[in-house]
Amino acid sequence: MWSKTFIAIVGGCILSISLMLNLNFMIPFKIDTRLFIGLLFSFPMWVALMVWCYASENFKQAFKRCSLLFIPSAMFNALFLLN
Amino acid sequence: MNKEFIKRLTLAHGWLGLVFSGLLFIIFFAGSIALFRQEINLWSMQPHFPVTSGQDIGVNEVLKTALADRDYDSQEHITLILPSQDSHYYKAYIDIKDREQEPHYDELLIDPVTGVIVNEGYKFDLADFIYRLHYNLNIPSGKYVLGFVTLFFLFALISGIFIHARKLVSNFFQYRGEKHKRSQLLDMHNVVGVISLPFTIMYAISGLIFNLVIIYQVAFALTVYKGDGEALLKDAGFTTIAPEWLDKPVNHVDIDKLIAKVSHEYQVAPRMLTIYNYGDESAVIQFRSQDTSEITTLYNVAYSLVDEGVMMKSDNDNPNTLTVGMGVLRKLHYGNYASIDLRFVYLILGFGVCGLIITGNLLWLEKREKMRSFSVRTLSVARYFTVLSSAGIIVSTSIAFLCERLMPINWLERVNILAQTFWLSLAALAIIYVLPRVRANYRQALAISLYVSAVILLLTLLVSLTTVGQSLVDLFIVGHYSVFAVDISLFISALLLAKIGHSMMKKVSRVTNTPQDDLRPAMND
Repeated sequence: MWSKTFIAIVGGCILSISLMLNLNFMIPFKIDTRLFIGLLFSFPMWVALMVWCYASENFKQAFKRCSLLFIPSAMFNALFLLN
Repeated sequence: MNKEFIKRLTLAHGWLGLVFSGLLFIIFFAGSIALFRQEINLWSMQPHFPVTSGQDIGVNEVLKTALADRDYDSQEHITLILPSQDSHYYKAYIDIKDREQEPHYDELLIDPVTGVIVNEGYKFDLADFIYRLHYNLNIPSGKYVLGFVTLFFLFALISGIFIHARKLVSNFFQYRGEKHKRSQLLDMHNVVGVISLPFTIMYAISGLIFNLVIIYQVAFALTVYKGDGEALLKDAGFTTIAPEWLDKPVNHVDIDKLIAKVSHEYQVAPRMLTIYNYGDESAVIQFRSQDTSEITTLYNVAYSLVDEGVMMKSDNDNPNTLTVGMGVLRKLHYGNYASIDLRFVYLILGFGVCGLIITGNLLWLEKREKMRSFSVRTLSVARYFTVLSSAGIIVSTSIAFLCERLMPINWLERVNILAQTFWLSLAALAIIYVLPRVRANYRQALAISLYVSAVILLLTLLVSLTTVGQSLVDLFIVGHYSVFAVDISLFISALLLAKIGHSMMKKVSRVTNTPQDDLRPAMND
């Protein structure tokens, strides 16, 4: 269980940042509203990912799950940032 | 739901709950008390000073008194907090020129009627100490430590929902009889957890935003803003007022007139004002409101002190969503957007969560005590930290209240003495709880600690009556009830602690007289 804690904290944090960046680029509101929505949803998102990691069989599965979600999300990040 | 999914979540919920329970108890216990920090601050301070009644002399006169014969730094800022229900006096913070030691400013309390400085320096720290304990443990970087504890608290809540989901509605009113001790604890844990869920989720999310926002702030500044943190802060509505010093002296302006103008425009008087570059042509005055009848912050405006031109404006007509949203979260978190009864609801829920934390730990212990193969040492450590982080904190807080009342106000180091008393009593309890005789029966240790807290609180009341009794009567006569209310609360808390301690003690003696002694594994280690 303790090995899953590492991926739950670090992986959950990075992935939630990445997902929030995408959300920030996609929602059609003013910047202050987008920032607030991002702030409000980022931590629950992180915790949701933690639940997903702890529900995994082991560290490897948790890592795999996070990576599979992170790769497309990071690609969208790159796309948005380059544009 | 998948059985394996629930099993893994239950394991994580139990272990992480146990590991972070101590700090979580401190957060909720100190936070619940800190809901009344204005009242506690008045309780500490007010009986030592006279209360006057009559016409307020106004900010212009107060400012003159505050700055007279003081080598203030006019290129810095002066902050004034106006009298309100929270404080009878004007509070002034004045930066002093070239002062090397901290604090670099003078803090004054000024009587609004006589204009006399009733107190200089920061002497009454009890309320703020408890408040800081709630959000940063009074240690450097404590804010981030507690931020991560809050993250695990939110995890415990969400995983708890999954674990209890099937019985969330059907077992809502279930509370099984005294014969099933484990069921009783479990029902208490579940019912308090379900009832307080909206409150705890709000607390966890707002607490996380306050303590760990830096993570997302840095990420957004580096990516979206390409490293321009200033631009991010500007979009977030955080404007820094830093007027450039022009070195052109001007006559002092009538600030009372400006206050009347702002009060008329917003129909609410400002609570706090900050003056930058006072006495120079570049001087700016900033007004902030604090209205407890509204959930949103009403205004934050800055004017040029020379021509009264608007320099910055953030109010309900010119809102920034993030600033308004953060203001709403702050008010939701502190429960200060309505009258005092709302804070009592928050207090009950806060203490309920303290109960939730302790029952969670007891459940974990009960389950493992029955497992013959489980490490006795781990059980012993878990028991020790449960007692220290709950009973230890309650006793130390009671001692801090007594210390605040016992210390004469002319002691220069009273702020440090208060903090040291708290930490030393916690350290002493940490040693006491490790003694084999105490470790042998941790429930008894819990019960005795509650008794001790009750005695200390009653002693505090006794000291109050003997040292500042006449002031209490005077304050009551002129209608300042906060100090009296805190004393009554201390009395009620003492009775409640004694009652809980008594009922725990009764259970302990009943269990130790039974042949199938539940605590036998504990006695053996």
